[in-house]
Amino acid sequence: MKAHMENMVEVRNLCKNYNTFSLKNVNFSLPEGSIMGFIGENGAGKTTTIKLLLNEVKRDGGKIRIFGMDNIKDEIKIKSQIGTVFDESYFYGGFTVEDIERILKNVYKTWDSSLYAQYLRNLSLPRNKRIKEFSKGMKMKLSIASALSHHPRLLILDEATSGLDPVMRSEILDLFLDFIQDEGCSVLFSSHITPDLERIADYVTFIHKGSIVLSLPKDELTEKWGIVKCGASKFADLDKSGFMRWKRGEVECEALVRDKDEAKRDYPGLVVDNATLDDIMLFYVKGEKS
Amino acid sequence: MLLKQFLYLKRHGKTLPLIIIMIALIALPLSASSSVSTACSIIAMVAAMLTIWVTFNNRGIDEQAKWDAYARSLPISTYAAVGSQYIITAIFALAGMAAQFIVFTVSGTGINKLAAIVIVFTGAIPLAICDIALPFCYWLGCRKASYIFLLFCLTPVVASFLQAHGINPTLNVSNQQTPLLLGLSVLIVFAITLVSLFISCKIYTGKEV
Repeated sequence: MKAHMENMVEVRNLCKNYNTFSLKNVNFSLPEGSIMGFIGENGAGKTTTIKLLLNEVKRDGGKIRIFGMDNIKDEIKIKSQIGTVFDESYFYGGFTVEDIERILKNVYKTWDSSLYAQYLRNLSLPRNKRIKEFSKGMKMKLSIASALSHHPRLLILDEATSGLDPVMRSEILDLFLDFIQDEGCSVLFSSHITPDLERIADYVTFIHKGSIVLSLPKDELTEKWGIVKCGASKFADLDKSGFMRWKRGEVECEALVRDKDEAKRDYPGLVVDNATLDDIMLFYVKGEKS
Repeated sequence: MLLKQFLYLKRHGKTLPLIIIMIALIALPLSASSSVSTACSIIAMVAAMLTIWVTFNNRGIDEQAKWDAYARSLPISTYAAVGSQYIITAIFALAGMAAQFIVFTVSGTGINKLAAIVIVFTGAIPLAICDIALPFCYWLGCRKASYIFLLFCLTPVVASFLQAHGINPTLNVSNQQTPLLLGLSVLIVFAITLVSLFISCKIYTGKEV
């Protein structure tokens, strides 16, 4: 993990109320030079949070600071340094990649045509073909090339790899890793494909039912957190104060713990496995808590 | 964002240059002969149709591509995003006025009182119609907004009603009053455009994409 100087994004007590869903006191920080995976099940509030960051929806409370500036007061200044990729392409199908460049060149003062051309070449995107003839993966690559070609400091991705095959996803993740090589850049990457995040994220923020459940370095989660496994009868006798969440089966029970080494000492004779991000998500969504 | 509007026309409106050439081929010989009024009628009608078509076409493409959701993530002001739609509409309205001007000049009629009225209203009427329609487009979407054109179909009904009640809506304008009337018309349409732009911007900003 890199040494971080300051936070690129700071979200404090962010609230948004809809009739059927609320975002409740969301807090997290994205340090400079890092990739944050923003995970949660569908409808947990990932996209709403991203829309609030981009001031696409009005917040009901809280504060958002990006590059140390208020996201509403300094909206244009902030957005000129952000690249965004959503889960679908918003470009008109009749356009070519050259048309997109013509438009975005006028939008971003820092647009770099040679960098865009380089991305198009590296990603094998044809210059004269219309976007409607592109596959989903090609459209996503174009969105990423467009988002990166004005030298943004922050890349915000909302389910950018969903619906893509593993080869395409791997190519795209490599692009993000290349982008992050510049220490002054950060990525906020919302996804429910946790293996992608396990590969590239430095931090993981997990949102569930509109509230942040955890926001921690990924290594802490994948290397320290674990799952204690035992039979149902044995589980009933265990002290559960050290368990974050647990799942009871008729035969076997599993419990999520913050420190697997400690769990091995505290529960000798029980199986303690590594926990993946998927496991942690499942425990929080489906598991019980005292 | 204005460039995007022109690119939409370039990509979507291949028929546009053909229509313009066709109208020019019909209108210019007519204006050179004695049928100036026919040429003016054709141009007024086509200018209105094209202005409204371009407005709805470009806004419709934005809607279909969900462009607004992306545009809101770009470093552009609301007025730049929405204003470009109004500018392209105004350009087509002005082009209609220019076409009328050319017809009157080519025909040798010159710019008399009637010609001035025709020129101004060729641009002002479609512009005003689009000014009314655009906030609805931003609010309800182009498809639902297009229903407001049904209101314009009621114009003959209203005219018949007024005439049946002895009200004659036509104006008898003297030569002295003409510049005032035209100036006033331009000002009114300009004011409608500004109000419409303001409302559309409010809707655009308030809409959660």
